[in-house]
Amino acid sequence: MDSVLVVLFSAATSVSTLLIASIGLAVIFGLMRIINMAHGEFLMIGAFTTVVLVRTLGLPVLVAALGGAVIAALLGFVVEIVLIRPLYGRRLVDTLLVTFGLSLMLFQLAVNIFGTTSPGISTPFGAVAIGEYSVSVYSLLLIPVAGLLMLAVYLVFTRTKYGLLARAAAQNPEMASALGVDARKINKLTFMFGAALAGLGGGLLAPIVAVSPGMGQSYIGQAFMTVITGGQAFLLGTLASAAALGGVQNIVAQLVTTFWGLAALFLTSIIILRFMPEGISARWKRQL
Amino acid sequence: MKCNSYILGGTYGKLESVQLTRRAILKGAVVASGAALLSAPAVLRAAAQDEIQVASMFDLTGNLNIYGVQQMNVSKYAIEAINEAGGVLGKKLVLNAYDTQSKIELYSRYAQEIGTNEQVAAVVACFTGASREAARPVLSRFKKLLFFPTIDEGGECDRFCFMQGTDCVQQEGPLIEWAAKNAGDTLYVVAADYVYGHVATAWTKALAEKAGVKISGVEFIPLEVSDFSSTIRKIQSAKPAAIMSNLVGSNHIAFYRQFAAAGLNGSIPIVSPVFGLGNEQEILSAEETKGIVVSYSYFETLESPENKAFLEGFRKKNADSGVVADTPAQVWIAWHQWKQAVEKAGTTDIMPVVEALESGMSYTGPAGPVTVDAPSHRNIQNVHLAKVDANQKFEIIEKFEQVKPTREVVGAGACDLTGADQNSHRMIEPKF
Amino acid sequence: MTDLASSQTENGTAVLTGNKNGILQGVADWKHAKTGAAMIVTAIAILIAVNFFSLADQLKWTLWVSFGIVAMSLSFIWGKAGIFSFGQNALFGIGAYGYAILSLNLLPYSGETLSALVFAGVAAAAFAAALGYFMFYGRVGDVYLSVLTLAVTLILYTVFSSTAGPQYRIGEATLGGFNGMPGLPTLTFWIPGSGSVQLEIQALLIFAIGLAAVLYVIMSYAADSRFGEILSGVRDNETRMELLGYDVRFWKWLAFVVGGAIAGIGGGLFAAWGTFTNPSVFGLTQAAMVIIWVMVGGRNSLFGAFVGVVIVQWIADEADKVVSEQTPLILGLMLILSLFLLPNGVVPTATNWVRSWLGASKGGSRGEATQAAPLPASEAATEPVRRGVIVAQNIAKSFGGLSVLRGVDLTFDEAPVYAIIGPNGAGKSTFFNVLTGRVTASQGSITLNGTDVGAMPAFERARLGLGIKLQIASIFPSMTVRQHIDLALRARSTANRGALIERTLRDVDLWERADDQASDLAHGQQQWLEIAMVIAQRPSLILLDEPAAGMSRQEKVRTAQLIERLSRTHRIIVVEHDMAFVRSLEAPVAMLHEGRVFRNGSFEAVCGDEEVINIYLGRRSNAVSA
Repeated sequence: MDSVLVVLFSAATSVSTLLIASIGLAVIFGLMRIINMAHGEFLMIGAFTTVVLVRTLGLPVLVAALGGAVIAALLGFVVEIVLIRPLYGRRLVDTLLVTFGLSLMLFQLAVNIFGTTSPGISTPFGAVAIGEYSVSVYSLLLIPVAGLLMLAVYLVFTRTKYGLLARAAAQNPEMASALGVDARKINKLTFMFGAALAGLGGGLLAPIVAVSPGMGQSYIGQAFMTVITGGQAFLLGTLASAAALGGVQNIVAQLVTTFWGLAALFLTSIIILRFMPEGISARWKRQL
Repeated sequence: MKCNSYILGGTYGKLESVQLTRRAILKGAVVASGAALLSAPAVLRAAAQDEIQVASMFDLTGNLNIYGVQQMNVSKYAIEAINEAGGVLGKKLVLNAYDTQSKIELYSRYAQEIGTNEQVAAVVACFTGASREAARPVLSRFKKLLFFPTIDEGGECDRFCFMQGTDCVQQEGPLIEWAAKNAGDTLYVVAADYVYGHVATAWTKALAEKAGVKISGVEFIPLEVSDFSSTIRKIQSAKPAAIMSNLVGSNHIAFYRQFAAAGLNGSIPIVSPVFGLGNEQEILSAEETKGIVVSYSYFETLESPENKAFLEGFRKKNADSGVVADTPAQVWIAWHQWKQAVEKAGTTDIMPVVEALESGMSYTGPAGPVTVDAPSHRNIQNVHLAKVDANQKFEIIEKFEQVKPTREVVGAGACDLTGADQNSHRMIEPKF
Repeated sequence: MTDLASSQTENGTAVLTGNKNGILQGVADWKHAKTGAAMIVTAIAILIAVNFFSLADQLKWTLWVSFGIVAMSLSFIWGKAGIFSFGQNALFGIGAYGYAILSLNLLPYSGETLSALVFAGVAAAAFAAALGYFMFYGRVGDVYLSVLTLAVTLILYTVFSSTAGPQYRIGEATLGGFNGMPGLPTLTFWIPGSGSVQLEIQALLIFAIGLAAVLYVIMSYAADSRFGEILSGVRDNETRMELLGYDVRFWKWLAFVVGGAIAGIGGGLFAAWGTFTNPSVFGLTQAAMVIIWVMVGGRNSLFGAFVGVVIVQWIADEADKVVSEQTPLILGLMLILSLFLLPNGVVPTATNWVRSWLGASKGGSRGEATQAAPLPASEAATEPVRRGVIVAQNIAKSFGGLSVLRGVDLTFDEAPVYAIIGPNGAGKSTFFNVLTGRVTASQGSITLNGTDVGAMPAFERARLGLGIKLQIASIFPSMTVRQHIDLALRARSTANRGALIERTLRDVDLWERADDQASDLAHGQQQWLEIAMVIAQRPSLILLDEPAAGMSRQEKVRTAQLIERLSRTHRIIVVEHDMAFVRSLEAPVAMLHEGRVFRNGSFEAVCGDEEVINIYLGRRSNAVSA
């Protein structure tokens, strides 16, 4: 019995991790139709910020992660003005490439600042016993944290003025500007918000992985898969695909081996895309 | 039908075909002259009579630079030290330092460049086995001597290649014995899912059987995975006495973190022949790494006059480059073994140097005395067991003197470079 | 040569045979032969220059040539066909592995590895065919396509990295997992008499240059041929191509397969050069490098692909000497700068400078055939009358929960022109889309000339004689007026075609602008051009969606005249808003309201009806009796 419980918790943690790592990419892609190749680096910057705050100021991890979000948002602000805005209306690939160039630069800057090996932070809150098993409390904590994060994003996009304007501008830019919506300001806020979510994600993940300048690379692939499988509805779609992909990956890894878990994730994604080429949520009415 | 001049990006009028021809020629001329310009013969240092060219290829940028930077630091340091002591055969060494940027194809390409440079006498290069396999066949073809500094799983059978790092038997033997004595007689294996991980695990199984230790489970983890929750759950189900970890790379460091987070690192000790190569004991916290047992030839904490001198000199030139792990130290040892052999052979020509290396000379370096075991081209060297202490330093707990390397390739016979394989330039595929 | 008159029923096959004829045309074309000769001359010049390279440089250039080949493949499918594949390196990698597997197995028996190089291209083409089928026939959109191709290359990376183990072998070739496959044989020829001959460094470079030159010539031919023209059309305006009857899925798929084969050959050369291959070729970095090369060199240029490789790789190599250990920073900076300063890439930008220096005009000169004075529209006495019949029965369509059409019954079989009107939200556009096949009805049937076409996509209906003109002028901005009609004539009959193009363009008063670029035309003229394309397909029925939209009064008058002229030989159905325009058509009118046919009859009868007026003025908001 307890082994079943542990398996389920483990699967839920995997789903939560995937969600936390992908939501920033999903927001930017869903609203601005921009593929932010530097998403992994925003994650990494949030992670490093969190590590620094915890180590130097002794802040609790969850608070320090918010610090990571703030720094990432500031960086997002600068990036949007300098790199993204001048390219509006140009080909999709231009923003993809400019953010890729940015990711290279951020990676190297991180190496210059933090060096190749730098200490991280260990996982807080210890372990709890579930039957015969010992499970990390923090990994369980990530489940409700991911849920709260989704709720927060949902509330931002349905209850705040910014959120409504952003969704309107995304669905019908001409109409929105005719209604007086300042698309440039909205886009800046959206990019900052997406960057902040990435930074927050990095901060939340910092205690369970080894923080290094290259850590962004390992998350970008899975984040991509999750976002495109999710489709138009960047919040609920990403939630659905994270649940599907993360869940499948974890359960298969438990039953067989880690490699087959990864293979199952990709296979699931391909199958979903075969039958729903625009993502899981393409036909949904609620495009959130 | 009009020729839509796609090539030059526009639509033309009637004069198109003539313009196109002219342009084609112009293009060709541009290409040829541009090529000549860009390929202006690399400024070859004048074949000075009093210089010997050598080369190193390490990853100074990219993901693998956590290993490569220190390796290159030591390589430069070794060359400088040798030059300060008078050089080799009275000549100064000139180091051609290549940054392979963690890109495998650069190993292949620079190996070709080195190979075609007649003046390069020896190469100390590479970190991963993959990069070695990209470079070695090329260097061998051009008769260049290669010293490979990292620990590895064996299988190399190349007359022009010398392996500095300890092999699986030299490392895992002591580790498994320690686990049997101090933890219990069951072992769970987690290993990286690539050739090294598989071969090392095959050796683990063989050595465990000899030591009377049962393998309670084996798990191979792909290199880009950093989520170990399912692995940790399976370990708990298996309830082993100890864990043998052959995990590699920055993603796999997360295992130790998540293992400690689950509260298991106090109850199940970890032994590993790879932990510490990238100074993981400093990346993780003291709590997470306390008690992990590793085995290498070299540790910074070794107490010997050679090590003291080595570290002092190194710190003078590289004050904040961090801990020197086993692999960079092997770079120093390689250069000095080569220097010794050249001076014995009286020349830098490859075969005399190879034979000199095989002749059983001993060099005492920061890790103690090393001697080449001729049939395997590996070193007979000291192996130390060490435990990570509360200050995240390696505390030596046991010393094994002059451990012989294995000549066997797991599941595939043996390599005898002074006998049947004296002209061999290949890698024997292990079977596991 | 297919005869134009009989091409109507052979429209499907005409496309394919037409393509073959086109390439043969190109070969026989003297113009191309002259270009080919120039290429050979420059190739020889390069080969001579090669002798002065150091060995290290020769090695470097061979690598760059293999990179250039894959960059060229991306330049082709992206610049020509508009397919942005983020995973072109995946096909490169498959080629590399293909070469590795076959050469290791075959060399002992065949004494050569040229077959392995060919196999590299074939394997990559096969993979591209499967992936392409999945993507193009699954109608994956642009954005998703690029991310999907990226995902594919990442998946391949994971898969190939996990093949460590002796069980992962194909014959003699062990895949080796993350470590890859070392010790591959270099390119080896078997020459009768001399046996196996391995290509040494300089020979390999010369072979590589020759190979690249041959591939370049082939790609240039393809780009300039009818195939290339079709791809340009697909890139510029996929919808329009569909409505012209082209199966755009097939053409994109074909372009992707061709690109894949080229990339695969580049990969095979790469493997032969390095004598090894490993999964990093599938990695994210390599994927991005291919794109960076093409971006820097210019995606509209096959030659630019090679230039891009040279520039980027040279900077990457030299960067380290300038600022040590900061290569990713410099590469990233370079990419960003080139995006802002040279968005089209080096070669097109440089070419434009050169052209503006030389003062060459852009497509201003006219072809021999054009004469100055516009002739009055011809009577076309020999034109057969071909009026198709389309019947819509009980058409219903809902989107989600919203039902837009609620049972529309209309038969278009008597009058030469019909008009469909209705207030906003009546369902006019949806009905139009159901007739044309861009939208499938939830209920009901559409019968075209006796055939049930309800399940057919738009391009199949186009081939059955349905000519469709959408509201927004849907043309190909980068092509000339003449090329538009050429594209619309899917059959290949050179003798008749020229005359047919002339007649069609005269019918819409665009003959004197035949060699102008379509983007230079006025709005109204662009609409007529599109109508000309539709006519050129020899349809039996023409559907026009708001043809008067955005036109000046004078243009509207001429459009109405054009419709009247066309109605002498075709049946025309017009969906319109503009009442004055509809009146000038003198056609029976069907009025839609709230998804049903509200009134049906002559213009005066319908538009004089008080209830109709009320609906238009918004007085009646209740559902009306059908």
